[in-house]
Amino acid sequence: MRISELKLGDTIPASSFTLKPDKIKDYLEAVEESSGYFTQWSQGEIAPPIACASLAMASLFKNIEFPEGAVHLSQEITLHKPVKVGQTFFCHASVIRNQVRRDLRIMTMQLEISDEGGEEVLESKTGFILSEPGSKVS
Amino acid sequence: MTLGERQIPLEQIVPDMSLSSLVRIPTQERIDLYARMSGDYNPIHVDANYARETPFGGTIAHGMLVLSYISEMMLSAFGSQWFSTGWFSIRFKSPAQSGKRVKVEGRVRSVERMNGQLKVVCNVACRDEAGDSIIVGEAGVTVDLTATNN
Repeated sequence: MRISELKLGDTIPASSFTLKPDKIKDYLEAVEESSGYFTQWSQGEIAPPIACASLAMASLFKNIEFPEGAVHLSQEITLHKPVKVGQTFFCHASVIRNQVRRDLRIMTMQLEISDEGGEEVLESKTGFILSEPGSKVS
Repeated sequence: MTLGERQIPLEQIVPDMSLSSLVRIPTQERIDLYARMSGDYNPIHVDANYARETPFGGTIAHGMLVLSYISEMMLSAFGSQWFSTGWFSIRFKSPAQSGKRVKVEGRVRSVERMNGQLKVVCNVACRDEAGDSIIVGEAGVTVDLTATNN
């Protein structure tokens, strides 16, 4: 599915992912994490919330084709509950903004991430600018 | 005085206080690790030959990788309650170039005290070596002063 095919109100097929220890280890090293809160990444240890957000986006967007030159414009994240290594999360996303201005499409996707008990752990709004040659002004 | 490393009791937070800043360098090795973690292998992040031909002139870090620096700054300043009450709202202004230093800064903008809680809002930013903005925005947290922070 191309992202430009999505319309306001459309939802992306739900997905799930698990916060695996190797992913957390890679994350901690990649971001040079030094807060002292994530000294262990084994099952049950508290995990970095942005790692959870990143993996949620990856699981939702893996079936979405982004055009070359797509730009990540904005990001809102609200944290509701700590996340832990080894937990599985369920993600839903919908298009909450979809505007075309000249040759650019401005889209915002809202993501909601819940744990196995159905409690929301994190929500996010991701804004993109996509090239849309030949579009009309809306 | 700065907030971070628990230098100042949270109940003494006032507007205009700085958060302890961070300096990070998203090397290509770290960007590659982030790509492996996230599954985002967009060539602009991982392919130097491809990236050289773009307006960026070289590979750039994932936006979420740079955003994670802000999360760490807020976590260090406000403690574990960040995990259940934290939020950000940011805009990406320019890319973080591979191998270039990123400075992460924050400053308390407002503090609302009510019923043993502090609702804190901070201006946050990531800047490149020239001082230009990579990320700008705000982040906030609600701290329950009666809870035990770890």
